Amino acid sequence: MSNGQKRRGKNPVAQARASSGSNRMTYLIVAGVVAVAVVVGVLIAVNRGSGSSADDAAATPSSTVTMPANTVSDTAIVLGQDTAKAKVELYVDLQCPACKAYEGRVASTLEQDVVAGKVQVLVHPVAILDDASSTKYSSRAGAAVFCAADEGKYWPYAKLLYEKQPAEGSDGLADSTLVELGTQVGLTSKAFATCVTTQAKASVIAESTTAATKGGLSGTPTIKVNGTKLEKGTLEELKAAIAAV
Amino acid sequence: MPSGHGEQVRSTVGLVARLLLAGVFAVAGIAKLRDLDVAELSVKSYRLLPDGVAGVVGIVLPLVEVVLAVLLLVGFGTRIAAAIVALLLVAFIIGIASLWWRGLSVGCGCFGSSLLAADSPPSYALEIVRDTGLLVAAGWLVVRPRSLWSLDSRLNQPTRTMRGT
Repeated sequence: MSNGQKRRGKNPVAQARASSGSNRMTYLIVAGVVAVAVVVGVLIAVNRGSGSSADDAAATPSSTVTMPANTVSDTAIVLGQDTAKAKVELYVDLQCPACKAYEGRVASTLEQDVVAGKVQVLVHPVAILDDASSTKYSSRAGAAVFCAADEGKYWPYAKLLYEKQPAEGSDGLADSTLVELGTQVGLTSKAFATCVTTQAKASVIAESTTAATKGGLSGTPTIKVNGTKLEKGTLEELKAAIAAV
Repeated sequence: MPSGHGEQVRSTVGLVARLLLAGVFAVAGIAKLRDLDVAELSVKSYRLLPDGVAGVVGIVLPLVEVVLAVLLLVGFGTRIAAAIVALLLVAFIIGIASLWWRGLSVGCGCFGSSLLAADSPPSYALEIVRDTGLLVAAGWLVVRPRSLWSLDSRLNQPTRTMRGT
């Protein structure tokens, strides 16, 4: 009532200053609250950083089943039986950080479901991120996983390459490193080493990429369950899609 | 009383600006916090910061967004909060423009996103237009933080009466 009159009667500048939250105490409180948010964020990030690699290390042995050896079809690397009702298709690029993150989320579930005969996994490696390294790591790694697939070891080798994934914008891993990593998952044959170093599968990864792009691939990872594209990228979504088949 | 009327209109504009920014930042912050893997990857995918730093920024950013949203919603420290919002928006616009400039097709991740690839390519122009609009709203509040229904005006009322007398 009289308050309103007072307000109107006042000098507008002083009034604005008084009610605009521009006094020092307010600034300090706001700065403090924002600083707390920053500190909490850094703590979470640091915890996740150290925790997640430990989780990865722990997750691999804790999944009690091992993915069976793959076969190779014309268009894909195949894991699991043809009789499995759910066909999970993965379009992945070894250079793609989101592919690595997705693999970390779903790998043990896929392993269990494949072993249980519920799921057949069809992997389509593609190379669409050659510009993210100075050495076309995307294509070279894609070719290397096809070399591993020839010996039935796509899954453990790809897992290891995700684990050692070079940062985007880096030089990528050298061919010699790709060979060396193979030995860690039992790819010790001369044939594998030659396959990697001579880029014997360069045309295969190129064809796989062209086929996927023609098929409307917009990016990686793209995941389809019996032809239906997933959207959320959560483990729950994948489980539900498999269960719904 | 034309001046009183104008004052009221401007305070209402201030309220709308606050609510708009609070709403957008709350939605953006919460969406990112729902999937921290994506929040981290999203900042990394801009390839502007070293991976370690980008990961931390990816987590800090949504928390700060939510805090700013709350401050603007209640209208506390409106001017400084709006100034921080404006700085963030400028950074976002530069980031998106740099994606565009470098020909990277990675979606801005502004409102969180999925780990999976999106169907359609990102529309950088629209994102920049949107952030510029928000920047105008933030700028308004920096210049003229007074707005209807704000904690600032409540808190300052006693001071004002004292000064007024």
